[in-house]
Amino acid sequence: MSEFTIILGAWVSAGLTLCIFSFLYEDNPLFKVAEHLYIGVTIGYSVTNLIFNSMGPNIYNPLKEGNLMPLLPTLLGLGFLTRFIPKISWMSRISFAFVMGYTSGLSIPTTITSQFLKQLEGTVYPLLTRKEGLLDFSRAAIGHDISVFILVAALLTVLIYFFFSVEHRGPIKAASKVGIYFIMIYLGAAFGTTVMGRFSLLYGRLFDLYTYRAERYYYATPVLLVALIFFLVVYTLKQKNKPAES
Amino acid sequence: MNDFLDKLANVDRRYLFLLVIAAILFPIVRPLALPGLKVTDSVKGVYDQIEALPAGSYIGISFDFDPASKPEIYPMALAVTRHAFRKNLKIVSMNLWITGTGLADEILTLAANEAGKKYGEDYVFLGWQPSPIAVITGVFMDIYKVFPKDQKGNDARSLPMLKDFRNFTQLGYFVTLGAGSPGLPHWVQFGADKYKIKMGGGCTAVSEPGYRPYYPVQITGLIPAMKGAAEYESLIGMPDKAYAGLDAISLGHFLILILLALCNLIPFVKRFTK
Repeated sequence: MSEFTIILGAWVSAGLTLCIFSFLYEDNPLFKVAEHLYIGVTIGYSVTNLIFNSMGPNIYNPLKEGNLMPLLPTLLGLGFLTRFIPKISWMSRISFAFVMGYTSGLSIPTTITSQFLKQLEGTVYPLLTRKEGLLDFSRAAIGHDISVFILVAALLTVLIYFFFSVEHRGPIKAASKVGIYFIMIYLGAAFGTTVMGRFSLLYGRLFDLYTYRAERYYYATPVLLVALIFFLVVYTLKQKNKPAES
Repeated sequence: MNDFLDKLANVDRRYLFLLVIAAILFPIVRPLALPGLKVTDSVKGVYDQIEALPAGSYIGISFDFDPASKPEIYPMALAVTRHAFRKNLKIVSMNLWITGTGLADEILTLAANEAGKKYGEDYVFLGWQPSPIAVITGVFMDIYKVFPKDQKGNDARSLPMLKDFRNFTQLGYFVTLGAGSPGLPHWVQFGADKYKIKMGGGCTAVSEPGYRPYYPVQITGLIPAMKGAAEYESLIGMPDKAYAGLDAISLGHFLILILLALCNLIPFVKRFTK
């Protein structure tokens, strides 16, 4: 990659990041430009990749060589597009039926195994840690066993909370209340990890902005930041002076 | 007193954005090197499996993320790739997210150049194909039917590294580094569980609570977000961007804790002072 490309990339990257961040101040045309550009580039990149790396080697090349096998899946794929022509839109049902049948056949048995039975096994495995056939009483093993029991207790109490066929009274009520606490702990953990994730993303963008402030990139970040602030000031003043719409 | 508390409770949120940016930016400008990073069992679960593979074994890596999740997944993807090259493993890679194709290529090229590895002999990048479930099922049967050509446009069968390779059941280990769907659950359901291969994964922080139940029965290890990536970087002895980012994350979390405490304290103090 040439030095010019690297510097141009840095300016584009820093500029678009700052445009997106400008939304934190208020909605403005620069944010909208960056947002639309993102959508356009993503679609353009995806379509190009699809044509040259998927449709080319999987459909065009085999057909050119006289292999007619890809014709059937291609016709099924084209069937989806008939939805746009009301007269022949019934043909799309064949394509939908194929996809639904294929996906269900593949998913139903594996979902029961992988997402249900194996997960049940994972919940209690191993319920009690053993070493050479005997119960292990080391600190790590006891710690593990306690966490497995908490996991099982959480599973059962949360299931009871969502079990509405029996009136929640007495021990059932107590268990479902414990279940609510476990759900709250989960939500707290999920919120905590979400915050961590968002901070990681912010760190990534700020790290790049900090990198692009350097002389090597011709001070891309400070120059663009000043330009953005100037634009926002002018834009805000203009919006304030604009007569209110009746 | 109450006026001040009211003002504090209704402060313009843009000041809070500035505070958050300052908290994250400060450690980037002035690294703090905060102590306390401990390698967890789930991260070690991926590391140990790769470490145990003999040189020359096949390892599969699927880069299932896009630029939007680059700061979280890119560091762990680079660390795992570097580890695989250091162990002289043969990498068969691909991706399920079309917009991540360029990033996957960049990671492989960077790590390969560092380790002096050659394309086609030490690693291949098969690229992306549509319909993830069909792709996963297909690569476990015959990769050449799913990927007749690699991402560079070469005939996949002509690559020297794939001379004796037919499908993913020949992998010594498989890792998916993903930002969501399609990703780890699909690889577990349609790949590892069905074809009985060992696999591990890496994920974003948001996905971590949902992916935990797969460990340790269905996956041998899980690298969660930037923290997991930092642990992996420390395991391979190559601290990089994730390791450096932990200070920023810690400071950001500290700020959120203070703000949460303030939000909860203000109504309490107001009631008390009435």
